[in-house]
Amino acid sequence: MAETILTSSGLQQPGVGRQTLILRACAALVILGCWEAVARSGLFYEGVVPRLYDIFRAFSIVVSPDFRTHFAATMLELASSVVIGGVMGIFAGVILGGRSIVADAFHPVIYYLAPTPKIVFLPIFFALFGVYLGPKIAVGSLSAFFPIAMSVASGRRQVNITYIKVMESYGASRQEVLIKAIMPALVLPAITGLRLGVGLAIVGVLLAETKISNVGIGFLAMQSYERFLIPRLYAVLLLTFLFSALINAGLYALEARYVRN
Amino acid sequence: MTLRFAAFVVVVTTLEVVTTFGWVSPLSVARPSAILSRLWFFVIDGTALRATLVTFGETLVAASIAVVIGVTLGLLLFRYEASDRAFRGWVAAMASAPLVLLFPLFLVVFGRNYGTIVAIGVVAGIPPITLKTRDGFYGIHPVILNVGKSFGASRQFTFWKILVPSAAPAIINGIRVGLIFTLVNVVAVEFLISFGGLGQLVGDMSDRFDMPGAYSAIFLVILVSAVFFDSTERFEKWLRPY
Repeated sequence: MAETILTSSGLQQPGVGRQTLILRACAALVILGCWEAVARSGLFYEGVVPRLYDIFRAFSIVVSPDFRTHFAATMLELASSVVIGGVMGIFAGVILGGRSIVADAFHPVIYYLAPTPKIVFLPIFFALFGVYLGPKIAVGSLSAFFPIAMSVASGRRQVNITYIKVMESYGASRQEVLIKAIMPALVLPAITGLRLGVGLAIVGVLLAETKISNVGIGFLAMQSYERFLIPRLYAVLLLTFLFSALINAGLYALEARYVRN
Repeated sequence: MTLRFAAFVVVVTTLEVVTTFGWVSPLSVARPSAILSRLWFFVIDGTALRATLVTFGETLVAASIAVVIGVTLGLLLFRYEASDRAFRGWVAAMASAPLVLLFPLFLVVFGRNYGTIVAIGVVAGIPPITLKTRDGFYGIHPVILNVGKSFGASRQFTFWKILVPSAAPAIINGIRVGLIFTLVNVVAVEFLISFGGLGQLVGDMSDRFDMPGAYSAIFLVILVSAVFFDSTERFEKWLRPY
């Protein structure tokens, strides 16, 4: 059966899936063709825009033992950032989303601190935690904290007060209200916040590695730049984007599965 | 407000006491009085204003280019449905991708100068503007378009008198989000390449181990980001009274 799609005018058109694939393939070929043409044209200093084959060969870095060390270090920093930022974000979100004087006092602080670029806090974390994993985990945690806190706070505010009042009228303790009524309602906002937070944590950790590190994918990228190993730089960055897209897709799938259930 | 102010006073007083008595190293946590003094110095000698103007200048240039490209792309996605089906996913993927990590590439192409910073700002601002513009046009109710057609409106009239005003709120929202993305990425790259305005100020102070200077520069970044965020929100609300 041919694929159909609902257009903005409400009409259905058969065979659109194939058209989409052809358009995407053509666009990809045009982009890659233009890239190769620019690389061979001599318009840029040699190596600034490497040929596609050189970038493809540079992907062999994935099988080197060095890459595994750098990847493991970045994964450790990222996992730690997400756990720390996630736990603190959920805790802060539950408090900020409640109808309390604390929430009213500090919600604007979180709201206006959220758009600040977290990488500028790196000097403070460097002074506090030294040069090893500490500052990178701290920047990643701070990056992950805000979207999780704001998403959970928003979810907390949307919990129907009637459920809480009914539980209280049946003599439920505050702990029981929190565990049985509030926390289950916060699972979806937490997953949504986590999806955004993980993306920001990846950016925070990698940027911190480009500035202060001797290990990690970010360090590998800067090392490639400093040694003018440009194909390797492109390969590392493309691998980073691919990894980020895979994590995003996984969290989207988790969110969709939770919504379906 | 009172609780917020009281909490602020408690935190500042505690930090002043622990750093004055040496319970915490001044290399790790600067004294609040020293931070305030440094901040005042930045204001008096014009460093704060200069750095802010440079950052805003870069943001304005980058955002202007991003608006032109983003709105055009959004319009093209609306105008040609096949391109929307084919490329909307790509633009959405770009919006969630860590584009700021491309800065080493732009360093190679443009060098350590304003070009790299503006390029990152442009790349960061385009996806949200494009998506919001596209959503704005697609969100127009077909009844409005049909009424225009029933009155014999030409394509040009339909575009300028029906489509653009109807999509304007979403486009303005997209421009606001794009502006914020641009500013955040501009400051981040300034810090990373130690060139430019506010971000460079933070990097310079920390490289010299001038912790009061670094803290005051970071405070300046937070203040500018918060004011910018609030101003663009108020401006958008003013443009959209309904």
